[in-house]
Amino acid sequence: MTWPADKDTTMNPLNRTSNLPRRTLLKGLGVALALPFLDCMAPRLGAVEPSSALALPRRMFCIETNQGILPQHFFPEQPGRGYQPTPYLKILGDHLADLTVFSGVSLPEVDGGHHAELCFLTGAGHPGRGGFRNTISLDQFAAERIGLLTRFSSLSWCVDNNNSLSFTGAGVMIPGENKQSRIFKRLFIQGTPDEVEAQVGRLREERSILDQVGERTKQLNGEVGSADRDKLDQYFTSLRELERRLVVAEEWERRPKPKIDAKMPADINDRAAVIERTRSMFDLARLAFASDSTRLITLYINQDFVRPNIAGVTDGTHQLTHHGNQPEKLAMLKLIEDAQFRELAGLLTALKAAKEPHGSLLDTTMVLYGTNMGSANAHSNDNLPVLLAGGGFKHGSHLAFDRKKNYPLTNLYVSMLQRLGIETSQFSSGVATMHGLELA
Amino acid sequence: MVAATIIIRIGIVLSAWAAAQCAAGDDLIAKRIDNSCVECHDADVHKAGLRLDQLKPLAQDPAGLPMWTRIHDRVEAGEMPPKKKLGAEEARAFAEALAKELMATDRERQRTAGRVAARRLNRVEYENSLRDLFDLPTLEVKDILPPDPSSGGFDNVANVQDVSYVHIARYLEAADSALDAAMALRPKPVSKVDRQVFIENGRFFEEDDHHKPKPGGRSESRVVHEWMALLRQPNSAQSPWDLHDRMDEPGLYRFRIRCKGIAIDSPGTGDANDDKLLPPTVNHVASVQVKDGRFLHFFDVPAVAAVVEFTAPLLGNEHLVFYCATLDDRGQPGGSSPPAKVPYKGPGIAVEWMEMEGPLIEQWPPESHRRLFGDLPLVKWTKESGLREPEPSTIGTGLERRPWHPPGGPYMVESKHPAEDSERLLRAFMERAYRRPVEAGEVRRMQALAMEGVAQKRCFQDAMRIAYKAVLTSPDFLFFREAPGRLDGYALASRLSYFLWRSMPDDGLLAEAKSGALGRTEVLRSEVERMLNDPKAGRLVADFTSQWLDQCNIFATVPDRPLYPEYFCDNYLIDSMLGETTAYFSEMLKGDLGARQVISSDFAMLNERLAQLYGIKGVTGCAIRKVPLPAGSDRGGFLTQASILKVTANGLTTSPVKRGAWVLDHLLGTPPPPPPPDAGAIEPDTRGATTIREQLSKHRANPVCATCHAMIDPPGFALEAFDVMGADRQRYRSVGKGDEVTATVGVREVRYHLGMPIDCSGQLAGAAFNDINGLRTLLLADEPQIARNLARRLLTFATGAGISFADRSAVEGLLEATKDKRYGLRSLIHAVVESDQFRDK
Repeated sequence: MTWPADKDTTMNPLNRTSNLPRRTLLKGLGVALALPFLDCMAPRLGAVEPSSALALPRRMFCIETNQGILPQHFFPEQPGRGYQPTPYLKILGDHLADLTVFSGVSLPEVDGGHHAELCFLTGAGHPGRGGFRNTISLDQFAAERIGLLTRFSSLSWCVDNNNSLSFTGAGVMIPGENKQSRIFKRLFIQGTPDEVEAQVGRLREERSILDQVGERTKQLNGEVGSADRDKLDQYFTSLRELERRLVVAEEWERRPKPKIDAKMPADINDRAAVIERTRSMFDLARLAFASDSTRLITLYINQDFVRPNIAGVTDGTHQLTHHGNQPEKLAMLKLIEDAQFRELAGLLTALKAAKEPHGSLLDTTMVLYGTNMGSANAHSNDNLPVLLAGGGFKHGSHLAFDRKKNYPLTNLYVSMLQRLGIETSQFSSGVATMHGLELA
Repeated sequence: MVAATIIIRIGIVLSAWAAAQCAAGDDLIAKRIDNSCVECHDADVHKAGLRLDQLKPLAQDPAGLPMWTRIHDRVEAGEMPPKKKLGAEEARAFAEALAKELMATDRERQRTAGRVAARRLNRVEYENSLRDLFDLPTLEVKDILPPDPSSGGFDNVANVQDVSYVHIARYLEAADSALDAAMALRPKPVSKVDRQVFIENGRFFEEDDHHKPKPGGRSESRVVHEWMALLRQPNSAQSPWDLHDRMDEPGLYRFRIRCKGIAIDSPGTGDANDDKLLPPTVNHVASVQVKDGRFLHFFDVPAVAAVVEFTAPLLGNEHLVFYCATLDDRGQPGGSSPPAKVPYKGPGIAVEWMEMEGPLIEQWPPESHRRLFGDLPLVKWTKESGLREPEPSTIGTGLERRPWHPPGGPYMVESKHPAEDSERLLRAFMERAYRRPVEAGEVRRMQALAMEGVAQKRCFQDAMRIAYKAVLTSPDFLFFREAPGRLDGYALASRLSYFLWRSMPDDGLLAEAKSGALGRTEVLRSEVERMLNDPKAGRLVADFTSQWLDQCNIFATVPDRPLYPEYFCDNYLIDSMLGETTAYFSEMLKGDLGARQVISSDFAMLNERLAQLYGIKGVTGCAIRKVPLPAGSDRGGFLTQASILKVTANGLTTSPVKRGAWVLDHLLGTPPPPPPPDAGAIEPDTRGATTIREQLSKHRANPVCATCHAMIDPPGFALEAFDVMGADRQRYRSVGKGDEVTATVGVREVRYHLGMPIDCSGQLAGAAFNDINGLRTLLLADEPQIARNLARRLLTFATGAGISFADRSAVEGLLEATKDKRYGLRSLIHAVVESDQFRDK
């Protein structure tokens, strides 16, 4: 992101004009709100033409489970339309016309077994090797271009720990939010006027801190050698970037949050409740999209040695994935994944039920669901089980690529970016749109 | 003469690639090199990711140094170019010429820019720094910050430390969290004593309809003669061992527990009076654990009733459980819990009562408050003060903080002369935080932020908070300030303390920095001694071993339940494993034990549980101590420690490839190249039909695989003698084929199959070995290489920069300097600190 030379115009959001409609009423699923906008935004949008911003809001929800998905229950045998659904796809039965399932895809050069979970949305190569530096993730790439259209440019969530799928341009992980109550509060709980004032005061205070520290960083920069200067430059840029975000946050703070008919969800602190936590996050994602609070969400679902509280499962997910072909373990693993696919089916049903002016929320929301290992038992990172639902593509088929020589999944990401209205012909290792996937 | 000509030619060729102006048209040698390399490493075919058409000459782009170094190493080792495309003599000359250029370029880089570019505190160093800065030893803030990347095996290497706005946002949040804890704007917390009599007010029993304990009513615990007899370890949400009361105040607590080890002999009448409590048959170990979290303190349960006492910090409102480490787990499937009305004979731990007292507070306001506000009075805020109401305090740690209004508050720090007070307080704080004297202008800049708050009628602590947050977000705090060339005293003091203490220098070290004495080698030596003998050196031991030996991954996998029922939920064993490895490293440090001890030793650091695992007799109790190993033991060194054997296995199976590669990389410092993309992975199979060795046999058959696997697999073959948790084994376990074995674990019977026998033999560089001790002898033949690995890792960790080409001779210098001490660990640390690499930027 480049900075305009004129500091004043940067810092004063109020002297810009915009092409966004001032009040767009969105209704759906008990959600009614005014879509506010920021005058300072439009000029920054870069890749997005004002006309496309006026068009349908396009959204993206990227979900990764981190312990593989049993391939034998996922991949259909027949390519194209009319394939015979596998057990997991049967669970999604009602939605098969609204999704595309892929086989023979992977992220080029992304290896390292579990380490690959960091790269599901970045496609950066060889995450397991020393000195690895990640690159920008799909959602953040999009957020830099369309993020300012909404209160939150993007949201990075997780089930269980504090990691996420989102990485900034410098390859730094955006810590994942895992508490439902905190998410809900940030999205929907309107503070009293006093609280809003206090929050605005805090944001301003932090801006003056950043300003002061920025001055100091610039001063230091003049005193150090070139190698250090690069680092301090990066620090300075980061200070300015946060400063800009605080300006935006302050603007939004003064605008009322959307009112919705949902109650604040209770935090689920039980680590074994992976399914319940997933469901709760899916719910929040639907509310966040429907209220147009954000258009970009990532969800990282961490499973480790904790035993999920699913009937019939007596061991932790990670140890079950090291199944060594023991039938009991494979059966339990399927129980867990069955439950996860049921939640996915629930999400798709809810998105489809949420009516928008031009159709359903599912029509405008791409849901990417997949995992970073083709076989967790072998820790392999090829032949990734992945599917894409909704969002305005011609769905309903199985796009089968070569299982020996995989097709780059990053090409799908290029397609998804274009669907968001972002004019780009490449992302990460992807240099084309996905072969065989057409816009609806 | 030939060599000289070649050097000139190569010079031409190297620049030729880069500038894409191959001047070698009429040159025979250049053409041959051209033919040797470019064929496989150009824009079309870029094997191993190397594109010579993109690689610029070093003189033009020093950033290409790592790649050129790799080219040098492969050619020097005779691995490239393949198929003898270049004669041995020419290859050697090529490597020599390149080495010269590499050395010159790297030296120049180090001289002008320095080895380490603007290193930043990683999140461990950040947390330790705040702990020391505020004197809050239990402060937890590191989880607020994004994770740090790792390079050269460590997470403090400057050149991969990228920063993003996310960091800044999180620094602000972490600073707020730490400042809340440090300010302590409240009256002194009341210390209380909470005694739980287990048969009266613990949830240790099944209650009858009248909420009275039902004697003998529950199978995992029963009331017997005024004692609560616990028969199982807790491991489920319904655990009856939860301690009722929680202590909401964070701080240090004293625990006192009256307990005894027992054996219980119950005829199964259901009447507790019939149950007999007998003396224990084994030494029992227990702990108080934060539910699903850390253990506060393991202790031996006395055989005769007595009070056990210890202190431990609590973070506030933690859910505690009483943990019976040596009892079997109640969550085991198959209903192994002895029903109350069935005759039962077995071990147990009897508890009468437990007492928690705290928080134990020596001074109030705490030192952390004094460091922020000196002796300024704390008073109750009133509207009449004319100041805005103070921001609410918060309670809880890290991201779990929530607003909190202390009783009787809100309180405020009262300053009658805010200009003077803020100047004085900030100066002292900044000098500590920045690890150096600060200039008046620097103080003024931060003070301006506080005075702005004062002008807006913020009360003093809220105004000062703005300035303190700015200090903690400033690059002066977050970055190491090092100028090219020799480090000044303060920079050296910081480098030294972040190496040995993983945190900021103390007053003593800063005084040596100020006087300039630290530049003298003998002062540096005595400071290193002082610091290594300080308890804070424990952070070095923990952090270095955690990263070097992958201890941080110990919980990544758990032993498979069907195959290894005896390890089910044995977290006491895992805790002991970690303890063994850090204690062993400490012992090396204490005794200046050398590189040899990485692989082999005649002692081990054990407690009873580890000794059981290793089959060593005569060790009783949970404390880890030095134990001589019997002659011919297969233990010794890090090589066969349980923690190592666990992190290199996956809980289900062991792989000689993974363990072999780990030994080559971590212990010998000769990591094998990463697997080719089409190498494929072996699907672990526990049905017992084949052994992993048979599955790997294609490595031997396929010459492409054999080159690398001839190096990788052998150490792993020898380590096949140890199972996924590090116990000896002669046969693989299986869930299918093999002989069924019935064994007793605790009081339950378990079954598994013993499959194929283990074969530990192999060949290392042409020499055959039959078992792990055979392998040891072969590995020890190259002691300097083991030392070299250790020296490289210490130097990387100490300075925050990986080993570049010009550092190689420095590493050899470290070996030379410590040869007479058999490369002792303490000597190596001294040598590292005294090296130019450490004393220069």
